[in-house]
Amino acid sequence: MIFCQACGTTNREGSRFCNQCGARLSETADIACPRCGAPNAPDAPHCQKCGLDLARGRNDVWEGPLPRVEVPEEGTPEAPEQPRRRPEGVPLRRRPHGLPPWLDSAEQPEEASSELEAGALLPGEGELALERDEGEWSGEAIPIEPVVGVPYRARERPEQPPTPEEQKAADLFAAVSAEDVFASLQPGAEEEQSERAGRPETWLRVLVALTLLVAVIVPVLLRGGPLSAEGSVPAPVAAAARAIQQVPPGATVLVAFEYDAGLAGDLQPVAEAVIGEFLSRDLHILTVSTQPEGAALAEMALERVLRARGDAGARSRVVNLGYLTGGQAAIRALAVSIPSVIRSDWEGRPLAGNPAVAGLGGAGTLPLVVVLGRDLLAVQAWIEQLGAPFNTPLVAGVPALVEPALVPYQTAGRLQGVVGGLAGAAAFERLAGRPGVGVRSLAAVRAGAWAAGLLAITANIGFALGRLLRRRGP
Amino acid sequence: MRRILPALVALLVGLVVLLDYFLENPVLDALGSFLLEGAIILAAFALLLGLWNLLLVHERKVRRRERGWPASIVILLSTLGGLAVGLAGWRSGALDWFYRYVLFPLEASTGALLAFVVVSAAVRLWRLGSLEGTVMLVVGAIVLAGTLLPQGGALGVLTPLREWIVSVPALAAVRGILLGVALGIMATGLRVLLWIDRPYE
Amino acid sequence: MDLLRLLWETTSITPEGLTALAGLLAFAALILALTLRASRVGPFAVRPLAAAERVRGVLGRAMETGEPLHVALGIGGIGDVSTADTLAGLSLVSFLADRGALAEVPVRVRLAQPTALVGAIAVLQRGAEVTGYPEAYEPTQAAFVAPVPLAYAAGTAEALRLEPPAANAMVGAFGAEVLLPAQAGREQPQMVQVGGTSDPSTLPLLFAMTEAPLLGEEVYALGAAFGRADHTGSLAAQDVFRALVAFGIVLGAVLALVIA
Repeated sequence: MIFCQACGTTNREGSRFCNQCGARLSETADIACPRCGAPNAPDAPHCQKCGLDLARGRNDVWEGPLPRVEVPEEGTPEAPEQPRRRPEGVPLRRRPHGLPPWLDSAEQPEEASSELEAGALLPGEGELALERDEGEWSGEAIPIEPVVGVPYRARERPEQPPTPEEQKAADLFAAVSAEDVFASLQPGAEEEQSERAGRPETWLRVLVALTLLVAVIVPVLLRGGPLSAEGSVPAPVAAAARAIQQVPPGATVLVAFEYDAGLAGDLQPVAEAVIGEFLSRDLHILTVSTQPEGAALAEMALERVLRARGDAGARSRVVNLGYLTGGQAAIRALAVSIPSVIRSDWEGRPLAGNPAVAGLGGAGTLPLVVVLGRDLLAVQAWIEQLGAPFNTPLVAGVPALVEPALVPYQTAGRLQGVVGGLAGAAAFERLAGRPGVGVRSLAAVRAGAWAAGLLAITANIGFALGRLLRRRGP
Repeated sequence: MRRILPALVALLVGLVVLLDYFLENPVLDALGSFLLEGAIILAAFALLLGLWNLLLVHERKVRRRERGWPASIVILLSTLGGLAVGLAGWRSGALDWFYRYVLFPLEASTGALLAFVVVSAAVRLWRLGSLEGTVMLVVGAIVLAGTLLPQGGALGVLTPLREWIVSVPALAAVRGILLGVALGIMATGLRVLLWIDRPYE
Repeated sequence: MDLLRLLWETTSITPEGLTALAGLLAFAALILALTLRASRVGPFAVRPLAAAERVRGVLGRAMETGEPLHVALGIGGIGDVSTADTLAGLSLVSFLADRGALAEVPVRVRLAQPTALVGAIAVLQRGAEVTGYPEAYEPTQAAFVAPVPLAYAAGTAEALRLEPPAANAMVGAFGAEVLLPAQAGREQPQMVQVGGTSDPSTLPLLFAMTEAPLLGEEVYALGAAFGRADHTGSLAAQDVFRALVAFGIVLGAVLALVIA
């Protein structure tokens, strides 16, 4: 390094003019020591300040000992913040994870450390202080020296052209920084934000609501119309009807009401159609539910059917066993023995002496059980606890949404038939020759399905076209 | 002992009920039935716990005037009122009237809302921007058309296509999911039986 | 001995029952062996679940903003057919309970069955105690909404609107009523929403309404995804059995074709 004699600025070796003031640099100008920067004569063998051998070279590594590092004592303002510690007297408990005790041969410590799994620490928290054995620290400087040396002041590197990767990265950065940051404020941007947020625009929500309302109300007002025309009977419904016809007259059947009032629109017509068919075949009917509302829904369905038939005497052939807690355990217990689980009906009348349950064992011995379930799980429970172990014939009534999920059980023979939703109820009523709520509501259901389908397809096509047009720009 | 006893009870009870499912034995049957009936009674008592929790949550909301506290007052009054009516005359018509003319219409209306939400979700399918959303839309359109449109003429191909979709790819997918779910359920239950999971501790 | 002989003589089993019991015992042995291996040698590799990664990511945000985290356990309970789904949801609650207690992030759990309530209370309490902050647990963290599915869904949706959490995880047994809380979640643009259930008919709804759905058996892999080494053992056992069943199905189909 060469000192400028006019302004004192250091310049690179070989420079002829000063970078700072432009003065011509003399060949006899002082040079800077590479280690301490002190000016020295150009031909000085050693630095006058630190003694570096100037003749040997400029890339010598610092060889002297490092200054000792002073770490502030605990309690001083520079001391690190103390980590959160477990309050006194609060015992640690071992997490019951990992190997079971009868397999784990390691001794179980009385107070085991917490076992947060590897890699699952909170971000930024670092290790838990609970487990650390914080030893005593004397407060002295750390008695180590680094093995790497510290180079002296770095040289300036000669300018090098960028590599292709560096150039690519630089071009990308330039392109990104040149993008129009106000594009989000363009027309249509709010819609895009709204789409990302998942909030349908208000006008779309109103359109959906009005369309569905009109689609459902108009057929009801017109009392059917072209949409109430009969279609083919689905195979699962026909199979269900066959299974019911195979039950000998005078036998006892069980109907499980495993749904709530929210799905009553889909399943009450199925319940009424099935109960009407049972009553017309002089069967005894037991109704039960493992859902809180099932018993009340069963009563409502029974009343409607008896009112429609005008046959109040048939009520004696129906027993509402009410609501049973326990889910699958209740179904299993019922399958084994009904009288040991239920001793009185829903209204509190004792079951003993009731002709509908006289001599009855478990539900597993019945010739048919109809499960009106709100979802796959409800029907699955009855299949697992009753249908499979006892080979009891089962027919399911489910909302139309759930029907496809039951097809595997049908093909495997675990379900004799499936009546799906209002459309299934309508088909069953037609087969039985007793049109009811299902047939009367079919037109409204079809109109609603048409409206929903057309709306979904049109809206999505419209959205796709709109996005295409926005991308192409004005 | 404090840790071993619950684990032992869980293991024994689980084993008895499991073996009762597979084996025919009078002792096992009697034990299994006894345990199942005990489970039914426990579930009934758990309802009381649920009731206590409901009252606690909403009482605290009202006391602290948290957001939505007026609705909590309605919940508290209707819960206690329904409980009082039920206990006083559970065989009378009052509870039945309450269910038929208040609860049933409310729930049925809420159920009707689902139709609206389903359609709202359907109109946004393409906005998901994914291949799955597009496939769902196309397949849904085909199935709907196959169900609703007349079966004659050029549209006659839609009904067999719909049948094929329901009975082949959809059925295969449902079967695959149910298979995996069944294995998952078995593994979850076995983990509890083998003490690997000890949720009761 | 006489007792054993008596038991042997009075016990019978159907051929199907014997096959099923043998399969179950084999599965149990495989789970044990692989869990031992996972606990002693190291966990099996688990592919990342998008829902688990989202939950981990939003946890950091919740620490800074103080927003609560919400878990909806669905309409299932413990002891019924949806026990496994509920336990899967509780494994998520367990993961959040530990970290929530450490980082002072409130965790809210809403459920529809009192048996699930017992499990949720136990998990939340234990999470607070194990991490050494028992005061972090509040009895109202777990809330029983209603035993009826639609009422539960409506109550949960309203709760999400009143106190929007940083994330809403709907993991458990759900039917179509999941749309109501999911729609409420989508109305909050900053809320991360994930969901999973084993019911195939509900999966398309979750797919359309959540950012990271858990499809079918992925729900049961949550424990392993959150770092439970022992759960990776049972997950590996499931993979083995699934492969065997798939092989059997393909073999059966080929044989049926050949014979036909």
